[in-house]
Order: sequence, then C-alpha cells, then structure tokens
Amino acid sequence: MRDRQRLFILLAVILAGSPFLAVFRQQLPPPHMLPERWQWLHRLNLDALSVALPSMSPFLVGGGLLAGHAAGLASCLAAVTLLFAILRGRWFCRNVCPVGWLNDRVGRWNRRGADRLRRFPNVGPWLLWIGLGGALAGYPFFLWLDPLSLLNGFLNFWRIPFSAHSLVFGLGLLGILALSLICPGSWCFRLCPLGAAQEGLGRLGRRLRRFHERDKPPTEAACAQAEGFTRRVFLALGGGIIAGGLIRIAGRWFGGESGRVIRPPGAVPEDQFKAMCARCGNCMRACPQRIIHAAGTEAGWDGMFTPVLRIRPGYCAEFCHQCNQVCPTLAIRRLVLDQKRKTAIALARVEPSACIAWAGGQYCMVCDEHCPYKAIGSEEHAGVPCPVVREDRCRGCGMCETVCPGNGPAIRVEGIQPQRHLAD
Amino acid sequence: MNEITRRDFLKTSLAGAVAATFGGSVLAEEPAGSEVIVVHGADAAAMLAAGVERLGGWSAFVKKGKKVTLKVNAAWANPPEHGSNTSPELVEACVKACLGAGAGEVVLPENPCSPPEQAFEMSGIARAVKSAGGRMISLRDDRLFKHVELPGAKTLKQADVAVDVLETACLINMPVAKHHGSAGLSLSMKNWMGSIKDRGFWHSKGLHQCIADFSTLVRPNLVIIDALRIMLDSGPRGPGKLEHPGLLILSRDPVAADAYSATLFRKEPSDIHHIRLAGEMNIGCADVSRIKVTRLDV
Repeated sequence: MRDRQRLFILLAVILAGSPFLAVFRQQLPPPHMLPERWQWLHRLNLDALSVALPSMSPFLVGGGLLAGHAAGLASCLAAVTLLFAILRGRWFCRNVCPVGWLNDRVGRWNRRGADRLRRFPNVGPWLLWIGLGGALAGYPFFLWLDPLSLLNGFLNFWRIPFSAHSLVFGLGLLGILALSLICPGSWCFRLCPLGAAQEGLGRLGRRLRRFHERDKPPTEAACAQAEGFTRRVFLALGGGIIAGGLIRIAGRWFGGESGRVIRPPGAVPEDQFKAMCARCGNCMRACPQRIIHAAGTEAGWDGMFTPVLRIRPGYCAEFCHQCNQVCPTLAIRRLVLDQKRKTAIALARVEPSACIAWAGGQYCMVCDEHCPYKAIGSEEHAGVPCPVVREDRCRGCGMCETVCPGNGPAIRVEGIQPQRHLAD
Repeated sequence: MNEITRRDFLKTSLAGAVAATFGGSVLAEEPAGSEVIVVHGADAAAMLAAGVERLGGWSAFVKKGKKVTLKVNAAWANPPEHGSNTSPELVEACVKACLGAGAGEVVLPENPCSPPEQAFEMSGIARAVKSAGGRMISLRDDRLFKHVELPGAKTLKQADVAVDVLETACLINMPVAKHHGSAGLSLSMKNWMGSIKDRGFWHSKGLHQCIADFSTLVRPNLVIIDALRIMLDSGPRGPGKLEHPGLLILSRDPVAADAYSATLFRKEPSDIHHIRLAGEMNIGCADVSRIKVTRLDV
C-alpha cells in the first residue's frame, strides 16, 4: 500500500508539474535571447510523459494496433502492463493506475456505497470486447473511455486551445471521480475497460497455469462460469466486428459532409479516425501553432472532440511535425518531417472575386510569396500576375490563407479525405 | 575569437580616424547620395570595412554611445544558402563594427513572414547577432509600432512603423538582393516592409507606390545591399536559381543602391516600378548613368 502511494505521489508530482513546466517554457524568452548557461531550460521537456501515460494501457494500444496495424515505440509499455496482467491479474490497477488510486481515495469519502456496487451491472467486459471486436473491423469502440487517456486529457486540458468543446477534456476525469463518489468502485470494477482487460488477462493466465496442474481438475462451478464468460466474449466480439464494419461502410457511403474538416497530417482515413482517436488531447497540446482544436459537430456526431485544424491565425508550419510524435493509438501516424511535408491535408482554392490581383488588378501574389511548397503558379491577367493553385504541389498548410490581404481572405484551404501523398 | 574582435575594432576605429581626418574634404566635393560603392570579395567583414571606409568610415554614421538600428532581412525560415535572408556573416560583421565604432547598442527589428523564432534561428541571424552582441527584436507586438503620417506620400498616407526604425541615432538598411514575385526585385526600399505592421495595405492599395512612398519618410543613413549571393527567380522565399556575384553595394542613397543592384539581375532599373517611382518622386537617383560608381576589390 505504501509503495503504491509513493509511486502515485511521484507520478502525480511529475504529471501535475508538467503543464506548469510547459507554461513556464512558453514564458521563456526564445533560445537566441537566452544565455548559454540557461539553454537547458528549453530542453527541459516532460511532454514525453503524456505519450508514455496512455501508452501504458493495453486496451488503448491494442485497440489502435488491431485497427490500424501500427504501433509506436512507446507501445512497449503496454506490453509490460499486459505481461503483469497475465501474471498477476489487476496488479497494474491496484499498484500503478493513477486513476484507480484517485477513485479509491474519493470512494472512501462515501461509506454507504458498498451495497450500491453489488447492484451495479458489470459493463466493463462488454465495453472491452465490443471495443476490441470493432478494432478487428478497423473501428475500435470506446477507446475514449480508457482511464489513462481520460487522465491525460485532463492534464492536457489546461494547454489545448480553449473552447466550449475543449471543456470535455477537463470533465472526463471529474465525471469518473463523481461516479466513484456516488458509488465507490463502480468505475474500476464495473465500467473501466482497462480494468476488465486486466481481469480477463488474469483469468487467462490462471487458466494457463492450471493447465499445467493436471492433478487438480476444475470444479463444476468454475466450468459453468468459464462457459458463460466465453459466450459473453463471443457475443461482444462478434457484435463489435459487425457494428464496426457497418459503421465504416456507412461512413464511406454517407460521410461526405465530414470530408471537409482538416485532420492533422498523417491521420488515418476518416472512416477509422473517429474511432481510433482516443480524445486524449495530445496533438492539440503539442501543436506550437495552436491550430488543432477539439471538434464540435463539424466532423459528425461520432467525430466530436476529435482534432480538427482551424487555419488562422496559425497554419500547419513547414518545419514542424510535433503532432506526429504524440498519438498513443497512432490514429495520427508517426511521420518524419520529410514525410509530413509531402502529406497533403487540404487544398487551397482562390476566390477570384475577393482577390486583390484577379479582381483588384494589383501587384499582390502574397500567397505565392509565402507558400513553403511553391504551390502557387501565376497567370497574367490585365497586366498583373494573378495566383493559381498548383494542385500537385499544394499541401493545404494554410499559410496562404493566413497572409492573404484580400477581402476575407481570398484564398482558403479545404480539407481533403483521404490525405494525399505528394510527389517530389 | 577575442583577438579578432580587438583587431577588427582597431582596424575599424583606425579607418574611422583616417576617414575623419582626410575623408571629409573628399566627400564635400561630391553631390551627396549619388555615390555607390561596389565592393567585390569573399570575406564579408573585410568587404564591409573597405566599403564603409570609402564612405567616410563608421564614425560618419555611428554616434558614440547612441543606438544603431540595423534592418536586415530575416523574413524566412530558410537556411543562409537559399539566399532569401541577409547573410549571417555580414550581419555579424556589421553589428561588431557598429559596436566597435562606439555604438551604445545595436538593435535589429524585424517583422518576419515565417514564425519569428524559426525565421531568426534557421536564417542563422539570431546566432550571428547574439555572438556579435546585438539585439534581435521580433516585431510581433503592437506596442513596438508607432503610428505616423507620411506627408510626402501619394498612397501610403499613414503607417504603423517600428519605433526603433523611427527613433534612432543611426539607421542602416541591410537587405539581401533577390527576385520578388510581385515587387520585381526585393532590394533596400522593399526591405522596409519588414518593419511595418500592416503589409496587406501595401499589397491591396498599390505595392510599388507604397514602397516608394515609405522611403519619403524613412531615410536610412547607410544602405548596404548583400549581393554575395543573389536569388534570380522564385523570390522572395525561394529556393530559386542562385548566382554568386560576391558583392556588397553601399550607398547613402537607397534609390541609387537599388538602381545599381537591379543591373546585377540584368534588368533596367526603370523596369522595377518602385525604383522608377522613387526616382520620379526625387527620393534618390534612379538613373544609373548619373550614379558615381566606385569599385573596390578586397
């Protein structure tokens, strides 16, 4: 017990400190203004923890892996948790999980809740197996219910662009804690898909170990229980596969209106993205231009709170690939800078009636001037050069939109789905 | 490092002293502002020293203990080899020379096109300025601008201009010479667009006239155009086709410096509208045949 407390306090101090550290770093003068001996302040970065924390969850990483067939280096942490679960059941839950510890603490304030828990239906395994079933069909359900992702969202909340929708990131963890106050243990033992995963793995481990002890035959009750368990898993997995598959097909057929949103570069195709995104807020926090926002309903109801790019005042900077390094489920792929620079997320379009050159006859071409990809060609019109977008080069970064002095602006980017790979 | 600084310091102050003693009388004979010094060489610091010496030495420009404002071009998050920003070695040499000549401080205000931090870092200029002892100012703060009227202007009647450009003891304009999609060429007068708040107004109300208008108000004490490498197309951002003339063009007359530099691109100065307009408005001499060109080889 004391070990767990110590562990938690360490984690809490580091994690609670990291947002402040980030705020502090933002207040620092830029590197070229700082003397050499203070340069380390800029290198001080605990943001890696926000990748490590959700990556410890086998539910999150497993869901992303099954659906997207990709895993990052941080995913190895989930393998460690998985191993512990097979050997010791809910060991991670009881000894490491910071959300579990918080729930435990909060639950103690309510002494009368114990019998409520008995009547609480055990939803967790269903969430887990339906989620993983969906993952097999490429559409993992309930990843956003992962406790580590919820905690991460809570820690990120302070650092992502604020909006009515970003509030959800702050509320997720508080919701769980409120639930634990009303009915202690309900989250950890009845709802949490990560908890259910560990319990299932622990059961599997026990059975594997029992397999070696042939002299002890299983009791009848244990057999019946195992049978019920297998039936439930089968039902939930099958249901998840069918539901996930249907939603993806429907998304491809009817998903027209959400095709317009701009996703971070490297995002998996839209029909998978909405499910693979765990709503942890890592990409929104990582973006130095602060253009990655929590979506409202523009990406559809099922795409609420997923990351969308809103150009102006920032744009998707050509020297940056921060959002490509932080996604725990790899809904946003790990792209190196060169790959990211060749991934088109949107396409610019000129509105001639609002354009200073096309309609105003002025020497402008500011879009061409700023374009990092040389994607603006020029066409002579009434004696002045006028901008034309070269679709084979446009990455849709939106820099042209941010600098356009035209009426409103006259050049805008619109999201494209799926993202295109540009030739050299 | 220290040794070189001291030697540079001695050299420049000696040059200044020589110029102060003998240079004054030579200068007095010539019509001010129509002389252009073209320095050819490989070492930016030596070329700068030679060019400034011919114009009267640093002491003719830098006032002891007073501020020097150096307007370089650090607009783009590009490496120096692209030629889209002023060469960092030239910036470093100039800041050092100004401080060596007794300047109280050297400030470099810039409102870049790329995000400031990346523009200053990747251009190599931040590092150069820091090591030379100057101060880079990112003009991304409304408080750094002052609203001014331009009585001599035709289109640009008012503008928000960097305070450091308006209020300084010595104003040096040090652009890089390069192609520019809408302005034709980006030389010294165009470089002032990095010291104002609202560039959009210029583009929408007539870019060339606004460029010329601005030079009626802001008159640099010295123009140093970096033509060590010049970008021939795809400007102002590049990367484009490069040429390496290895030149510095120095003058007190921004229009003359721009007009001469235009010839490096094999263009008639009158083809660049803002140079022609500036000449017509008598801001400086836009006629290359009337400019006295002095060539130096270092």
